[in-house]
Amino acid sequence: MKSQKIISAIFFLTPIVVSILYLVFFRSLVEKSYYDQAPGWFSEMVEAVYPRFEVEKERFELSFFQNKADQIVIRFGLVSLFLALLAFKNTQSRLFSYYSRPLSKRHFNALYYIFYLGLLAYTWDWYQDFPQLTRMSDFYQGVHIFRWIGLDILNLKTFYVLFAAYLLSLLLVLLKIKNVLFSGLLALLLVLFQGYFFSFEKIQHSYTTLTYASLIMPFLIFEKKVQATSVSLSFGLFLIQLCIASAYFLAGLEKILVSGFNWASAETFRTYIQLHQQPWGMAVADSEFLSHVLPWCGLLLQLGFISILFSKKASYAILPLGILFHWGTRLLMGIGSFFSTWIFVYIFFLNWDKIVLKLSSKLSSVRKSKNGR
Amino acid sequence: MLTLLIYQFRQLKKAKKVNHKLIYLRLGAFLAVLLTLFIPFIFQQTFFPFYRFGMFAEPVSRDIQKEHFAIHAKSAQGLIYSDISAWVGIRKSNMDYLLRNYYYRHELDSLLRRTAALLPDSSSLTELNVLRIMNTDTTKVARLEL
Repeated sequence: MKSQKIISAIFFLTPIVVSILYLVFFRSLVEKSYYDQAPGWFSEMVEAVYPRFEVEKERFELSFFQNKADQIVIRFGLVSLFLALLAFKNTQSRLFSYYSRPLSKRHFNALYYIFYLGLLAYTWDWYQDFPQLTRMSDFYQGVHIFRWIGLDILNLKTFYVLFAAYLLSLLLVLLKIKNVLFSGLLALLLVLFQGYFFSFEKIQHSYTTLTYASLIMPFLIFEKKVQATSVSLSFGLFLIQLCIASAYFLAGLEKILVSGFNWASAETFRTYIQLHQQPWGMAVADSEFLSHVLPWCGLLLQLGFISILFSKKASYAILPLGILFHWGTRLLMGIGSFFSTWIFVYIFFLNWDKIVLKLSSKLSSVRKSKNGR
Repeated sequence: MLTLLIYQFRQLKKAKKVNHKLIYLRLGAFLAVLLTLFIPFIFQQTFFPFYRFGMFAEPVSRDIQKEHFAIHAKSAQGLIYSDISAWVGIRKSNMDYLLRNYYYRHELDSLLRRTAALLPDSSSLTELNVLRIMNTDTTKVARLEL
């Protein structure tokens, strides 16, 4: 308990020390960097972690970047304070037992097959994009990690071989053959292909939560394997839920931290709508009432999504509202799709035990009534 | 984060009747998730695949945020094509980003040469132009004769 408090104190004091160091030494380096007067080591560091700076500084004034640098320190402070609280309140066993989710064999199996079949449905046609990637090879930049490890654009044959390995892994996972290993390989290949898709100076968030889920799924499968009982607690399931809920929560938090509650003003909403020029969006922008209400609804949903982790009842409201949110974004701005992967991953919040039981009892009653005739 | 990890490992060593493998795994995964979720938005492209989510967080308060670029092509018959993405096989959404980045890196000539190389031989285009459009102002910022 004593060492727990010491750890907590370290996490509490760290952001204070970091903030002082930042204000005294580093904040001025941002200005120097903007005017190309920063020391070499600092410029190299900026180039390594934020290469877009060279382009962005042509577009924005100094205060924009100072604000961004402040944000990094604020964010670091928030994480550190959160960890201080966590270390103070919990031992690791308490943390795991409190947040782990009950996961029966039936629930796990349903989730497992639905997730991997869904992954197949969403990605089976990615091979069609490979010719375009190789065609665009002159524009290839490589996402950060690719540049660091020196990964160049692949030739078409290699892309197809890797995609065959991806589909084979998916098949083996569905057949439950060495599924921890192949689900891990699957997740890595999924990340690799997306890395290539995003190596042309534009990234997309369409597959984000799906990717997070597939990265954690091997943990969940392993966890289920080492727990022999039919009903067990799964921390992996909680981690996936945490990722999905945090994606929404942080998107909302980012808006507050960057723009304040002014973000939800009708004026900002209308500007975004006008940038995308979608017919439904333009119609909604004409309505004074909707232009005031909808941005608040979106923001509150994003900030409130995290409550789904702590209350089962919240999911009854949050999930349908989440679907409406994505459909609304599709209609008003033309972003995403009606079958968005962000909606698909809501499967991790559903109680498949109940759903499977209800479905099977309905099926058996239908069979009985047919036999009765 | 490292301190917490070391502390947790020490706690685990003390406990005898736990499945260490599983707890280490849970602990590692939990810390990895925490670390990746709090990456500031400006690093959204830096730590692939651990994206950051802050889409549209910045209010559009500057004209520069409304700026966009376009490639217009001119044919031998004098026709103007405002979207050549189907011919060169680059999605328009990708091309928009390339145009902006190449413009600010002062490399538009190189972009136009690379784009021209992707045009099919059968195309009768004679000229490619890059336009910078901001509010009602449109400026031709690069040109390539084919």
